[in-house]
Amino acid sequence: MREHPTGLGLHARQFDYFLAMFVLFATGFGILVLAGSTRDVPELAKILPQQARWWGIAIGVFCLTLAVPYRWLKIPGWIVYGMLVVSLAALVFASHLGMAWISTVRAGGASSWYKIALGSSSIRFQPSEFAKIGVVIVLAHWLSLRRESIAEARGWRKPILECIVPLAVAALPMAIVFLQPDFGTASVFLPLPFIVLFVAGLPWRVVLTTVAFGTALALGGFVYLMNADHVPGLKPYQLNRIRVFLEPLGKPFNPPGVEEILYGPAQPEVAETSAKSRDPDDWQIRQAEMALGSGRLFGKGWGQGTQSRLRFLPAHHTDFIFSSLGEQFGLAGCLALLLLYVLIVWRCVHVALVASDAFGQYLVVGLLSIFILHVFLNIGMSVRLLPTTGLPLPLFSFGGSFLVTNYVIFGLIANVGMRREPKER
Amino acid sequence: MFEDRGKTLQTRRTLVVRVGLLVASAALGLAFIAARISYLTAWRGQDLYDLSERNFLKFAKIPAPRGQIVDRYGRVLADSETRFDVHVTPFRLSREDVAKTLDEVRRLCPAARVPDVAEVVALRPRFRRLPVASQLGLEEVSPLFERQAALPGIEIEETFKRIYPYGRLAAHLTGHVGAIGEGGKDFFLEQGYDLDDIVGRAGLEAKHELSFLRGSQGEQLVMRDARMRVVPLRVHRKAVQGATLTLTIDVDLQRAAMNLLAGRMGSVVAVDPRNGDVLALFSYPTYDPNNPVCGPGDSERLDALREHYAPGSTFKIVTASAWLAMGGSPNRTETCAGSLQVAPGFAPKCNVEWGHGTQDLRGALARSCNVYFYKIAMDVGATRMTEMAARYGFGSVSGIGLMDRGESPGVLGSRHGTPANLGNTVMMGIGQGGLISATPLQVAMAYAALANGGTLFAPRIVREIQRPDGGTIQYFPTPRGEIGLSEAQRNVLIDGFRAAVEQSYGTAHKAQFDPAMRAAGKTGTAQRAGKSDAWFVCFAPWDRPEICVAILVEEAGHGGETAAPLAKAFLDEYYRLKKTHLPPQVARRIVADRPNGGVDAPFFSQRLDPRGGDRR
Repeated sequence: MREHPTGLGLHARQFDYFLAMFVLFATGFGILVLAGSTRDVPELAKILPQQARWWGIAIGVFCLTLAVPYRWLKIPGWIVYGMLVVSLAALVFASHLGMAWISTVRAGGASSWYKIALGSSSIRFQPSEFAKIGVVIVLAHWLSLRRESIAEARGWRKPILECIVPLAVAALPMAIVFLQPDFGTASVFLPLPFIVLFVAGLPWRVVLTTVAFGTALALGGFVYLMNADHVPGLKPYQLNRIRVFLEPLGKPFNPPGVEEILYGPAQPEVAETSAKSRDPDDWQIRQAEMALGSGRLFGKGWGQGTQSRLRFLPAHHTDFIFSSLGEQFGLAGCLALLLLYVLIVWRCVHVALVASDAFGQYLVVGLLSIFILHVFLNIGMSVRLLPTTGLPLPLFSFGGSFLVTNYVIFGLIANVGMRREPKER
Repeated sequence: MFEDRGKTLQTRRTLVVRVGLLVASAALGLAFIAARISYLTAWRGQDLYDLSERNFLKFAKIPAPRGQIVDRYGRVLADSETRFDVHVTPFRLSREDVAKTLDEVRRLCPAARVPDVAEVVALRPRFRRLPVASQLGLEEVSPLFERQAALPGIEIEETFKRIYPYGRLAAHLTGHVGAIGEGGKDFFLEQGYDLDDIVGRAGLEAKHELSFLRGSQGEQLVMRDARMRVVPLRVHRKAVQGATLTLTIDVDLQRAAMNLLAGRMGSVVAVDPRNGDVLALFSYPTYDPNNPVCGPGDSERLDALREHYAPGSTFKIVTASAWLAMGGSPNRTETCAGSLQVAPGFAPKCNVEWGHGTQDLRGALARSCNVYFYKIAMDVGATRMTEMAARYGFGSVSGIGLMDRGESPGVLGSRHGTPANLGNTVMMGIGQGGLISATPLQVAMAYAALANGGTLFAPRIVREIQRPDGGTIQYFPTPRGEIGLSEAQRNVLIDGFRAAVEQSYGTAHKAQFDPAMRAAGKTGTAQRAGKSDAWFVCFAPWDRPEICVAILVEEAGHGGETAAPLAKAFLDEYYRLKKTHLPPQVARRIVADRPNGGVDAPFFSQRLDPRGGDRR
């Protein structure tokens, strides 16, 4: 094995310009949608310049990320990971002390539901966003060291033992984020160790067993949560929120009519039991669905989104920006964005496959997983396939630290890509 | 080496396969999402589009202020003031938010009647609302306006309040407004009203509700955002204020009438004999149209035209006219000895026990001698008296444009069911008994007809209706007929009425009318259930009359002693005002610029003591 050439010319040649272009396109598209949905809405007038400024910062951070060879991140990754976990814990601690200036995040929130929705918008610094990257770096490093022993692990005990460190690495921040409580971010942490372990070559029998076990656990948990009167460790509103999330899965989907939207569900006994707690969530998700669908094939036109501009659409500039996109540009706009995402994923997968070392491969797969999970959870929520989780849409939603995080992710991926071993001639 | 290379290949294959599997599952998820998006946009898109339209667009009405009612000089009797209604809705709000809002409203606006939090939160469907305060003035509501952004769930709506600056003074004329009751519901809904509209409930407010006072509501397209804040988009139709009603009433005379009655039951009617204009029309008890809940001693009935009384001696105008019209001589003399033996066992008395002595028709009118009129009445007969009374307007509604129903026609002759006989014919001659009963308005119009040369007018109370588009509807004096007496015959009667006022033997002499007024009048004292209603009716000046006043004070004794001094004071006031008043056209132009017609309104309603008695 000879040394990789590290010349600037080689890096510039191997830099994935398409990836960078697609990423910039996606953000620009997002700013276009933001501009349309905040047009002539005085309360939201500062959103657009803010987002533009953050875009500039994000591009700068992207370039900085490129400059540092990704292999140098192995040890600093652990340090940063440790610091992030500590600061996350401090954040939870602060919020439990009632230090609202740190922990409560919500612009224009109206109900108690918003008070706990931490981690989706305007907090100055969100450790949880960077913690995802930290977790991936640490996982990639650890698994690149343990790769051979994982792949060659025989029997049951060894592979399971191999899983302990990666799972713990992800579980620590996840638990803290869960306490914040931010279910959305927590649900991004959960799959990361499994995905990287899987790619690292965890034996199939362990993978399949885990899948079977996880499915059974999920089903059992679903039944338990939907029927239990009281779940230890969960406050009643948290339980209610989870139930609201899960309810669509437990009953056949009925298209809502205006009466249903305004008057609530038709069956009085259901209304009596849960209308109070579910009212805001249900109303919002139906409004979001209405916004998306009302765009029809080609949308109401840029800046013509009534649902978003009249504030029927909750968090239309962050969590529900996809609905705002659908409202303004219709099916065509949605598919355009999905295509852009597919192209980005295609470029990233290419990088993962050509990366010159295991660390780089796992790093790219892990980072890409963060991206894809965000996309799925966010869009799935917008179209009512998944419960509301309060996650922003990568490269698209308003929110400075999230945008920077995304650019760091793609900066690292491009970093891995341009520092790959050149093809033999 | 080979092993190493094989291992690398193996690792490489694992990577490709496993990343490929991940990508495949991601593609599966993507397919789900794309299908779902297509379903929502392409399949259900139109439905959802319609729903989203209904979400925020609606038509809202713009309330129109009611038209004003002003007196002959333009002073405003009924006005519309901008007020604000405040509502609270729990729509999309948590219990804590509602509680916070209500606390804030309680603090900012003491006038608000803030409902309980539980009551608001319990509203279903949740976009319904509860009134917090209604009819607030601008000063009261402005703290709420300023802090509206911090008061989620609070809605402030502009509305109009009907106010009556003169309070009880003209209550019977203007009437009042109120909610559409159960009774009129179907009718008003058919006319395009909403159930929460305010409509005229009495008087002119009711009479001219539909065509004029109501105005026309505007309509606007409003955008309603998710917090139920209403943003006006486009006005389709402006609200148009209702038409202005100009009355013939003079508020000053109306006030004089009220002050003269001073809490005694009775009526004052003042008309202009030349055209039938009603200058004052007041009955006590009255009520407060600003708060139309009748307390004890209040009445919504305008007794001056809804209640009929025995006219007493004021009816002698008809007896005398009928006598003259059948060719009788005014110089017929009769001797009054205090009573007249009409039939065995029936000897009605005169108003003085010792009798009036010998007198002709003029003297009998001046002294109000009953015996003289018993005799005439026997000669004339009930039929001729009834016929003459009808020409004077008795027995039929006057046609005053004040109400559609409810004006009393009074009682006249056998047409109202009482057969004429000797007894009631004799009594009819002096305005008593079952054959005759009249409203004060009828009496006033009858004397006005005599005074103006024989033309009976329908009383006119609305002179003009000015529509906001500039169109004007004028009501002209409406003659109803002629009394059919020659000038000489009329002069006989007028001479008699003059003598009643001017001569020392006249029944109204004690009231001491100023001779310069040249008043002519007739007293009346009508027996009713053992008590006497005091009448006095007069006009002035007798040769060129410009005002005719009929005053009835219930259960107040002798007309000459009770009612005539009131009439005198009323005429004094009339002439005093005449010196100070500008001609109506000029005056109206001046007061039109001044708020409230330039009159300090509360003065009147405060000064009136409902228990009676003028505190001046």
